[in-house]
Amino acid sequence: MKTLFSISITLLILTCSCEIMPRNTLKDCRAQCKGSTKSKACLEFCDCIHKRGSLLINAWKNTTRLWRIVQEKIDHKKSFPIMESFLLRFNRFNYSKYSFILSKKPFSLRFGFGSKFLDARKSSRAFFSSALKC
Amino acid sequence: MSISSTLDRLHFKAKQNKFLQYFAVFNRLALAAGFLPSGFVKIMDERFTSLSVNHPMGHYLEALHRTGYYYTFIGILQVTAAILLVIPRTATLGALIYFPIILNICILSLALRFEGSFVSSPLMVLANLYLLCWDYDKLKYILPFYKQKT
Repeated sequence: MKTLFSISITLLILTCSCEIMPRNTLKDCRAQCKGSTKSKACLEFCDCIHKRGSLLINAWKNTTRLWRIVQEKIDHKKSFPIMESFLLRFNRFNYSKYSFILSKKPFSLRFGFGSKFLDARKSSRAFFSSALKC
Repeated sequence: MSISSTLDRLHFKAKQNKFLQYFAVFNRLALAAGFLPSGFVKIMDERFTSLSVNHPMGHYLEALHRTGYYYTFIGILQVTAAILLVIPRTATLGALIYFPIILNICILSLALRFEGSFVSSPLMVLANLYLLCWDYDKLKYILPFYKQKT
C-alpha cells in the first residue's frame, strides 16, 4: 500500500512539475501564458517551439534564462523604484522600442547615474539578445 | 518472515478479493482497447497525429514514420500485446509484451511534455504493473529474492 502511494505521489509530482507545456498548437501554447508574470518568457518559449522548431531542451534553457532576467528586473524595481519607473518610461518591456533607446548614448553616462542603472540596461539588453537564442 | 513468503501471502489475499478480480479484468480490456487503434494505424502505415513537425513530439513521430517497417513492426507488436491481453490464458504474456512499450511511451510523453498522453500513459503503466503483480504467482520464479521451498 505504501509503495503504491509513493509511486502515485511521484507520478503526480512528475506530471505537475512542468510549468510550461509546448501544447499541440501555437495558439494553445500562448493561451497558457496569459496572466503570468513570466508571460514574455512564456511567449518566447512558444515561438521557439512552434515557429522555430527548436529542441525542447534549448527552448526551455532559453526560457529559464529569460525568467531569471525578468526576476532580476523585478528585484531591481523593488530596490530602486524611482529609477526603475524612470527607466520604464522608455522601456515598458517593449524591446523593439527599447532597442532604439539602447542605441543612444547611455543616460547613466550623461547624467552620472549609479551602476545599478547600468545593470538594468544590461539585463534588458540581455533579454533582448537572448530572446533569439533558441 | 522473508520477502518471498510475505509477497506470497499478500498475493493470495488479493486474489481472493472479488473487487480486485473485476478490476484486473477491467484493466486488461482497457489496456487492450488503448493499443488496438494505435497499433492498426501503424500497421496501415498512416501518420499517427496531425501535430506540426516543429513540435517536439512532431519531430519524433515524423522520424518514426520514416523508419520504414520499424514503424509497422511497433504496430504489429502493439496489436499482438492487445490481443494476448484479451485472452485470459495469454494475459500474462500480453502484459509482459505490453510493459516495455507503454513504459517507453510514458517516458517519451514526460520527456517531451506531450499533452496527449501526459496523464494517460503513466496511468497505463500503473495498470500494467497491477496486471504483472496480479500474475505474481507465474512471474515470481524470475525474481532475485525468490527462494524455492524444500
